[in-house]
Amino acid sequence: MKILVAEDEAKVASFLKKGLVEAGYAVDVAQDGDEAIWLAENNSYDVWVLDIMMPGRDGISVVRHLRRNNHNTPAILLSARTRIEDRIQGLDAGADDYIPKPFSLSELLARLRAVLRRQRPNLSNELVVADLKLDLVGHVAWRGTREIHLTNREFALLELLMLNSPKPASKMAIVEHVWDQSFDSGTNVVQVYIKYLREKIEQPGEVPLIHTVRGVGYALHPETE
Amino acid sequence: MNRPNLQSRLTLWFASSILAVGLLFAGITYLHLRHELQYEQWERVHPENPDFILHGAYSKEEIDDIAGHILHISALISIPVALTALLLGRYLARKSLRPLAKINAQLQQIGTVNLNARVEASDADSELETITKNINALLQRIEAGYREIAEFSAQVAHELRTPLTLMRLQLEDASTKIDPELSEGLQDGLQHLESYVDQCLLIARAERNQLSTETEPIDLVSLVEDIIEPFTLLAREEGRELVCDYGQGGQVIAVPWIIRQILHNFLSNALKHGTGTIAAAITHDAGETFLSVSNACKASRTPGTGLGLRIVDALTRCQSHLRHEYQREAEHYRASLVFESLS
Repeated sequence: MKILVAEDEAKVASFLKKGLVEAGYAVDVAQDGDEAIWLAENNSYDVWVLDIMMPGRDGISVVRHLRRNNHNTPAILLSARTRIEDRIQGLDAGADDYIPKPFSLSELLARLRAVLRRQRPNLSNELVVADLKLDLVGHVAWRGTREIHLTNREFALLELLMLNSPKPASKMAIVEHVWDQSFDSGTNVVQVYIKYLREKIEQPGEVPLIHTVRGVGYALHPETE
Repeated sequence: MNRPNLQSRLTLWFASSILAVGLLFAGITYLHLRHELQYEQWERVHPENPDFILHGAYSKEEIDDIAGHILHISALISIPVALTALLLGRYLARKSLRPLAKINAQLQQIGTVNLNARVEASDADSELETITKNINALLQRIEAGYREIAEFSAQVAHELRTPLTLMRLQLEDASTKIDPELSEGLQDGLQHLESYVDQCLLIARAERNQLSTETEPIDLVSLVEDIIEPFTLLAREEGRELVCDYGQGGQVIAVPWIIRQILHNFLSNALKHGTGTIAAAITHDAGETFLSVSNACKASRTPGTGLGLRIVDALTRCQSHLRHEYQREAEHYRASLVFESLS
């Protein structure tokens, strides 16, 4: 999988490249909009990740230009602008997703996988990790044959952990993914939800799936540490 | 003692002036008449003998009687004249001050969300026109200053997002290599910082009237049930309880995300600064719907930044039929969001 990252902040671009390479992607970096267009027109990529505010052409103009020239590669926009109107403008220009800054690498990876999954003809509505299944349409989980009912927030939390599996998701990524209002970091809302989710998906005798990775966040996988 | 208002003073000045002029004329007439009657002599044809002309003068009693009559009539007339002058004065004072009242009413409607509004006084006199022009120039300067501050806040918040992204990526990358406690502390600090940036941006947008305010019917019970879920769990973790009294429920017309944000801030405050049971309630009174969160207060409350309540204040001002109220009685605190009747 090859990804084009267009980001004018060299340090941010360098960390994105490092994280994406570690996740198994090949990455090219463009430092402005014109370079991004040149690279996109002369190379084949699976996804474009474009910052909106760049010198020269901005990310939205880049997507609009490439779509006009019949390039259909999925595009994810990164932006410090978080207004709904900004998102609409980006998506209307032809982008497939929009990630507001600041974001976690785990969130970008999850969005990348989601965008790539949408490209596949046999789209799956289920996420599976070990014997845990999550029905993305019915909002229900199964542990083996045991059906687990989840609240909306528990569902969103489990979905994020399964999308990231086996890698951990940070507390910040979880807060952003699960809650529409930003919770004060003074509260331990993530720990509380993890505790209740654990109680639901890990009954006595079942293999523990949710693991606390100290200093990092939470990971969902069947192996014990 | 309070000084009477300008309208009353103008009325009194007008009525006093009319009365004083009238009394002056009456006084002059009285003195002139006395003088004439004292020094002037009358001539009359004898009624029985037309060849004789009678010459005579008024006696002192006759003069006092005639002049006294004038005074009496003047005193009688002065009462209706004074009353008429008062009414006329009041009418003229009101008419003269009407443009001022109009300007005042328009100024009262101007708040932080409509600083672009200007005062109009088309039928005002030239003196008031000058005042109106100066007020509008002042409003323009206030609007420009306010816009600059809001734009600066928004710009700063935007500019902070990229370095925050870099810090987060660096921290996530380093999290497995540094002390876990340090990593968690840094994550919490970073999350706090991001939350402040978001809140500052939200306030800046609300105060610039840039928020999406499309209203729709909202079932308050469903909205409250959804929002309180995490707070119920968090309260339980602290050994506290969150109870809800939905009463007869309530349908309101409002912007859903604004109501969610306000309720979220009320509950966050109750959790962070309160003690004991937190009570959420939907009540109705005099055509208004109240969404309240109440709790007992901590005796030695650590003051917060006030950002949460500032957000509530900015958001309620975005919608004309919304207001918020806070009541503190002894050790009990209640925050309410009031949906005013739309009719």
